[in-house]
Amino acid sequence: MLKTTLLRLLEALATLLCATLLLFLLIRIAPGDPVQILLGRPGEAGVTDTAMQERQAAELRERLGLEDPVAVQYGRWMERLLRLDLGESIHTGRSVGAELAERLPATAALALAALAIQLALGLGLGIASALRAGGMSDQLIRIVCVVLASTPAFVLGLGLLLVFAVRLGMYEISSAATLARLWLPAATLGLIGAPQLIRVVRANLLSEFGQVYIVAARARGLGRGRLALHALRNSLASIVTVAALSLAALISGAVVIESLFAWPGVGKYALDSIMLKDYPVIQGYALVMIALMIGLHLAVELVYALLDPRIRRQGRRIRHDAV
Amino acid sequence: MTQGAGSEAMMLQVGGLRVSYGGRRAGRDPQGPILSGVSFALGRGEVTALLGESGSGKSTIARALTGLLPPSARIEGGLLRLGEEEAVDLAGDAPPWDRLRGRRIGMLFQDAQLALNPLMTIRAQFEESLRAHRLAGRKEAAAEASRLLRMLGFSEPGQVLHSYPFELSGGMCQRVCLALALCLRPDVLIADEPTSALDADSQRHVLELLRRLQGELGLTVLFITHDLAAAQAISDRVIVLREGRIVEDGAVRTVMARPSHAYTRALLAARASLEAPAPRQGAAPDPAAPLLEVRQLRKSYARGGEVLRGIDLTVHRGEIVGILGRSGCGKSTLARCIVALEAPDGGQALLEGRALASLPRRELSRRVQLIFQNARASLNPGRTALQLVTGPLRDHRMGGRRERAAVARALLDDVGLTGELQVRRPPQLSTGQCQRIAIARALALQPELLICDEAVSALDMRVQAQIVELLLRLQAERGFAMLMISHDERIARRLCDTVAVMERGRFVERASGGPSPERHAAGAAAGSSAAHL
Repeated sequence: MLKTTLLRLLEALATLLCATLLLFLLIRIAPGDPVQILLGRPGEAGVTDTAMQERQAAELRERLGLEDPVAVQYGRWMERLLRLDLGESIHTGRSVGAELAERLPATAALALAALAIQLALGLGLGIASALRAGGMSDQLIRIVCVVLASTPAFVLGLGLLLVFAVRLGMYEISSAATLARLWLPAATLGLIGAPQLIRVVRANLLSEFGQVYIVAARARGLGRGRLALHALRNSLASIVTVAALSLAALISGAVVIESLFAWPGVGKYALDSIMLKDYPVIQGYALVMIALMIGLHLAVELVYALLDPRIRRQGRRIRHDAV
Repeated sequence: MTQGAGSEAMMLQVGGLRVSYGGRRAGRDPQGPILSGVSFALGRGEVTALLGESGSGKSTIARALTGLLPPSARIEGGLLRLGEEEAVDLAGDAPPWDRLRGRRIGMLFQDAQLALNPLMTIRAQFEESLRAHRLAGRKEAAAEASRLLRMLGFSEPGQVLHSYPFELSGGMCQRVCLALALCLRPDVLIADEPTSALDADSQRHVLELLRRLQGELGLTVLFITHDLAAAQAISDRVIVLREGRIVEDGAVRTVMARPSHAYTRALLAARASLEAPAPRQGAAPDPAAPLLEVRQLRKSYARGGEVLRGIDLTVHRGEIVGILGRSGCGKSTLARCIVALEAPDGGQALLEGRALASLPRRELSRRVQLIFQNARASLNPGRTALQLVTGPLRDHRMGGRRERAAVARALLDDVGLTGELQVRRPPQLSTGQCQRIAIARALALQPELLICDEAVSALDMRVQAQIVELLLRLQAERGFAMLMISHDERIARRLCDTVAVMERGRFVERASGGPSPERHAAGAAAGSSAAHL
């Protein structure tokens, strides 16, 4: 178990290393020049002295190290990375690490709150519709799921804002990251993501209900509650997988909802930086996301092992003649 | 219900049980009744065998008596009476299953490994059962479980209690299931094919234990099986079920000696035919031309240890070679190595002198074909029999569309799947019919070697006999060589020219096939083929 864990960690590091290289190259291949965006294009309104502007640009390039060969730039980045230094923003000159650290907690809080809502709905309604498969409540849940899953996030978000902020005045429109402002974007993301989890829980439970061990447990006279527990326990691996994927999507893809609710998270910051071609910020943001995803996958693998003795206790078979 | 005479000695009585599938809710065509008025009684402390082929409704009886039928089944009528108690109306709204299941009627299933929750230790499953019925607390539960496991022949119950089901063999799991059923002290035990999935040794062991414990505890047992030998070995009485009706009910000895119904006679005849050696029909194998040569084949798995430990084997053109061994001896791994589905760690397999692994996949699949134990699982359920057989022809670009269809049709006719059956899909066919498709598909490319990995083990005895006959006939007509892998000695000895017995990855015994003088007379050289093995 320990050996497997260490091996997985090594794999994760290797993946991260590959990701840095790919990331670095991709950003530089993409069209656009941060210096030009910063200073304005020659000939653009507001740019009066073209020669002066070009001198400035060259100077800036030199200062930012953009004139060096790509390999040198990569080396410099890696060297700073080892010291856990993500560099400074070209645009604002502030430390990327600090800027991200400022915004990540808000995004994480939103993602976790949304996931909690998804899990509550997914487990609750999923179990309910599996237990009453084919019945009225199952049908109703199915319809709600289809409607929710086919609603774009921003439409639902706007709808909720309209009702709770404009009509009922229960939600304050500002850009503070407070608990009182968390619930509405969290509910939006939770509702959008819940149908997937509901369907997965329902389908897994139903397929477990058909297994022999459930029939055998019934034959031993166990009650419905125990049976559902057995089935749920055996479905957990799939549920954890979907929940983890959902969390990944929530952390990395909440841009639209963050802008809609003016939630000061990391998504909007990243989007602005991409517009400005702010290399260090894009690199830093993407790297943090990649590290998060790798960590998430690692965590899921470990959870699998905790959940399933067949993974945890591989190779511990009792031989025919031993007992 | 059943006759009043001696009813005080009856532990369980069933009257007029009628069950059908495909109700209105299921939305399928209503099928005929699965059980049409079944009545029988189990004597207190008696073992009664319920004998029938798959589809006869025997498992439906087991499930109906424990309230475990799937929602698509409907009980139309039937009474269940335990001892002197008031009869329970099985068709009623709410039979008192909470009172009956587990506590009064225990149950064993065919695949014990699947009947245990894979994520719970054996100990947790005992605890859960005992506590659900308020028979023991946590501590007493472990003690009771240990006691029972010891009764069931485990010398170290503690180790078993801390194991998960996947850490135990099939036979061990079935013994655990038996202990788990017995810990609730039921009056009746319904055992639904409890030994069919086990190899011969475990089968014998479980049967012996069941018989012994039944005697010690005075348990009433309904032993459901399709296996005549198992029924004979364990039961006092036998009930023969066919198409949802009881056709024979009497003492084992009487039924076996003087079956009164034609169907019982047919069952007995099928067994006899499987036991008799088959005269060799086709041309004798040609000893000069080894088709397949396996030399010092080795294979180990990281977690399974050494599975093949130096296998030498020769199959000549037209020869039928049997490999006999119990589950886990490595025989399926051998088959998979021969068709290059797995790469051996050492040694090699040669097809006419060329290394099999170096042959192009396409050539290999044309010359060597494999059929599996579970025919249904090896066929794509969405394709018709005809499409399944034309598949390999199309993949190998043989003939035009029309030609291929004609070849496939002829092949299916040849394996006995005719007319409308050819456009049915696997889910609409019986397991035996699926195996016929698998055989036709394997033969479509006219292979030189056919490997049958337990190809008939999952079938009912009568169907087994039919498929064995079919394979023998096709082999005689077409002259391909065959490698028969089986755990069933009768079948191996009946079919094969030579039989090699495999144990723990090695051949421990090689012998010529069944004691059939004709077989060897057919070819002067056949007897010598054992030496080539």
